[in-house]
Amino acid sequence: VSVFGSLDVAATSLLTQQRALDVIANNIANANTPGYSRQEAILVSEQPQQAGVLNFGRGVKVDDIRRMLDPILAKTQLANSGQSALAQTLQQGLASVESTFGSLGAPGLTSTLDAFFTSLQSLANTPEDAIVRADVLTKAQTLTTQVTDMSQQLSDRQLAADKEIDPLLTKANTLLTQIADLNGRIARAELGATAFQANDLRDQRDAKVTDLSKLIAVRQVATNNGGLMLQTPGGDFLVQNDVARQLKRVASGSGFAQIAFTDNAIPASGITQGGQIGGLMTLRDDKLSKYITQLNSLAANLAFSVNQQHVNGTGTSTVSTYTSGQTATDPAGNTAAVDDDTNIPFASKIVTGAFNIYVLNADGTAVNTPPGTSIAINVTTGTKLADIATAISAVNGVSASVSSGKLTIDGGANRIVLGGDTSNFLAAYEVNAFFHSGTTAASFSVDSAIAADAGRIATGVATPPNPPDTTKSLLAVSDNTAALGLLGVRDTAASVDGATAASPIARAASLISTFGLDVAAANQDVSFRTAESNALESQRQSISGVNVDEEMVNLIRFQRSYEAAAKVIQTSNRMLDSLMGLIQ
Amino acid sequence: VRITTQQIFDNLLLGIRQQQKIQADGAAQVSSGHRFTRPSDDALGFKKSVDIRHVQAGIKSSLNGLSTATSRLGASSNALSQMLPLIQRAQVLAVQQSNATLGSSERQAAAAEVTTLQDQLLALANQKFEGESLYAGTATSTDAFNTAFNAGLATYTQGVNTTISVTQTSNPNGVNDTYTITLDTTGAQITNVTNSAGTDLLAAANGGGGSVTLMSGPNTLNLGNGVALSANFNGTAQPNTDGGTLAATGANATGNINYVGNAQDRVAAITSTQTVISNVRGDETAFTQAFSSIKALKDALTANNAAGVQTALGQLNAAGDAMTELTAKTGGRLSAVTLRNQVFQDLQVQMEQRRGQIEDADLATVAASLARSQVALQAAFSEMARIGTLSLVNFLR
Repeated sequence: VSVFGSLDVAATSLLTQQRALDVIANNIANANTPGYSRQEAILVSEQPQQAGVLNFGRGVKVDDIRRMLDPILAKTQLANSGQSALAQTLQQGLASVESTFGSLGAPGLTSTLDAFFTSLQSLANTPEDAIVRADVLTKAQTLTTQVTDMSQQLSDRQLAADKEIDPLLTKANTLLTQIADLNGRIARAELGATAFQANDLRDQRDAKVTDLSKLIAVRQVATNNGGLMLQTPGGDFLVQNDVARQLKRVASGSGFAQIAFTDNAIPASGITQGGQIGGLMTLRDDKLSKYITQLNSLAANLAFSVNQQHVNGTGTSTVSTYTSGQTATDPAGNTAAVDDDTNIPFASKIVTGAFNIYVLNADGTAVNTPPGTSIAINVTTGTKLADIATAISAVNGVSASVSSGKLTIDGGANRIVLGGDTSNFLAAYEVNAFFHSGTTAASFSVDSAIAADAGRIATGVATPPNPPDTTKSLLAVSDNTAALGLLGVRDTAASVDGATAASPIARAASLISTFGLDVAAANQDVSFRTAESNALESQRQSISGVNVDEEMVNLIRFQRSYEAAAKVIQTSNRMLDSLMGLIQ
Repeated sequence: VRITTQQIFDNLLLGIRQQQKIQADGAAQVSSGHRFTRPSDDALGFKKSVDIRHVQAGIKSSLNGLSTATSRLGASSNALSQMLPLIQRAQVLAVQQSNATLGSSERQAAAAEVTTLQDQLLALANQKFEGESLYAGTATSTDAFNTAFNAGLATYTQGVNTTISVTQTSNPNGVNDTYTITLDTTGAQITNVTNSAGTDLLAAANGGGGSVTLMSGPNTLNLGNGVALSANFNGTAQPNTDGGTLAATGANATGNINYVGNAQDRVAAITSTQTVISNVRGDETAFTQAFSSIKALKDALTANNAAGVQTALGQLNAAGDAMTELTAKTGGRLSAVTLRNQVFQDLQVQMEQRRGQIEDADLATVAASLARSQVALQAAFSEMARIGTLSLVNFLR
């Protein structure tokens, strides 16, 4: 032991305090760096030197630079990050279509439906009034426009959500590669003779994993030697040590493309349970798809139910020609049975039955005796469209033909009135229909003949005089039998598409309340996830965050230690000076 | 607990955001007057609001329907009440003219007045409301009654004997009846044509022969009531007496007032499933009796027939009673509609109140909340400015 021993000890202290100050400086520098975990220099005393029976300390050294982190908290934050991103994406997506569903100022579909049926009620009460007729047409067109607009807006948003996935998937693939790369770098840094704790690399990796969890649902599993494995919630691995798998879009039936692994094209299970991509896919495949289905169902049921009533009536206009609104597969209508034609959306609703055809003079009196002729449809024997045309042509004063898949009934100078359809043929093929519809709400419209002439809106029906009287008209201008039938659709539960039977208003209200509840749930989820995120971040800050004041105190502490070590050196130096003085 | 600088700023920022949301929501409620305006504000509240608005639309529509029914029944009732004095005046004239001491000239003068009454009655019965005939059922585009002669339509139903086919060729008196045609046992002669009262109308006609021997082709049958039939014989006699029936309907004699509307009531839709009858039809007995009794009086006066006037008086009394009854019945329908109208109006008020409870903002609560939030926000801003000075760095100079 000598004076030099003190110098050596003081020198280790100078070096160690300086390193500790470096750590503090790094902490202060990263006080506002997102994801940064506070570091702490762990000081230990050097191995002592034995001199006889005495042990002399050899100073101090930095044993470790510890990263202050709670791994369980980090895992919880990772899960929260994914769920928050999903909830926010869903909330924003739903908010973007909210105007489609109306507001109190413009209450939307239900009020438009109400307005349509209110106009029909007015028509039932004054069937002879041309102005009321025009109002019904206007209200019907407003309704169909609103339904098709809603359908378009929802479909557009669905497509937009689909398009938004691609760039996010590219970003997710980049992050997967970067995480694998960091895994490799961390492993190399923390192994071997020159190993050190790769705190900053770990911070970087954690930040990348958090970013990834904001895109897709991931599960994090720690492996040996500083490695990290990422899995999908379904257990498929995404990253293992320094190997990353890539993701891509693959077609899925007739629906939108799903996400699968590039290497084997197998769907990544559970990947949509979190993150922005999960939110977009939930929005696209669950929420918007559900609204579109409900809207399609509303349009289909409303169109068919109204048409079922309308085809049996007649308006104030003298109509001698009807052309079916739907087109049969075979241009001549001579191949498929009417109930089996794939081109006709509601062909399956056609049953064995009949409808009446009345051929009338200009004054409404019947041309034939008896006034009405029954045209039969038999689904068992497979009545074809051409068969119906032939049967109609056999009636005196009217002819029918099938051209380009459409049935045309032509009375020439005679007025033609249809009625009493028990087969649903007229409604399914849209002969004298009110609405035209397809398989989706997008094709929902007012029948072109009605749109061109509101006088064709059916209000009355052909009623043969009782007792029979060929001098009396079968029609009465204020007969509202058909109009009452149309009005009856308002509150009648029906189902033509296999959905639960419900009235049109109930369907519209259900659509709006479904959306409202989804929005409420999304808002609540965002509130919960945000509160959870805030609480977790606060906890993380409490453990891993940098307190500048605290660092300043430590700064002073190490500064003082440094100064003290320097003093030891100064003292030792003086001691050496004194010693040297003796020699001189 | 360890507190970091970041935590302090984060918490302050969070608090400011929350208070700003309260300010934004409060401002939206105050400016709109509603607790919510979009589904995302309050999904269940919005749904309830939509439901109530639907009910309100239904009520409004029902009130419109009831208004139509009220107007139509009111106009019908009004016209009916004007008919009653006309019948009463005819009754007075009938009482006066039934006096045997009065002569032809007085009765002719009275007949002229009765003709005026008849015209007025017809004008009232053909009254239109908003351009539509009130009493014609749903055939509102034409008058409910006309006075034009109509030979009517005869429909022949073949009997067991299929050798003949009968048509009506002439009906100058506008008779509506059903005729049964009977042949002799050889089927070569038509022996009887009896009306629905069982009277053989062939007996006194055709030269008093009482029967018509059938020749091949059309054979004329002149009946006692002026009607002429044509029996087309195929030339081969069939030994069966059942020659079938001929039913004549829709005929109207000159001078008669005939209902030409239809038998369908005009119903007004109150809801999608409920309707009320909103009209009075001209084929009601009151109209038939009114017109037939006035005509009987006019005919009796024109013919200076005191006994006939007496008979017409009896008919007029019955017509007056029937018209009073019909007016009362119409008034009853009108009252029922008015009562329902009141029920719907009460319901409308209730629904408006319910909607208000759901939709309207509680302004006092919102104002209090805004004031509270404003204080909190000001405090947060102040704290944000102050916290910057509380750092050890500021003291280490």
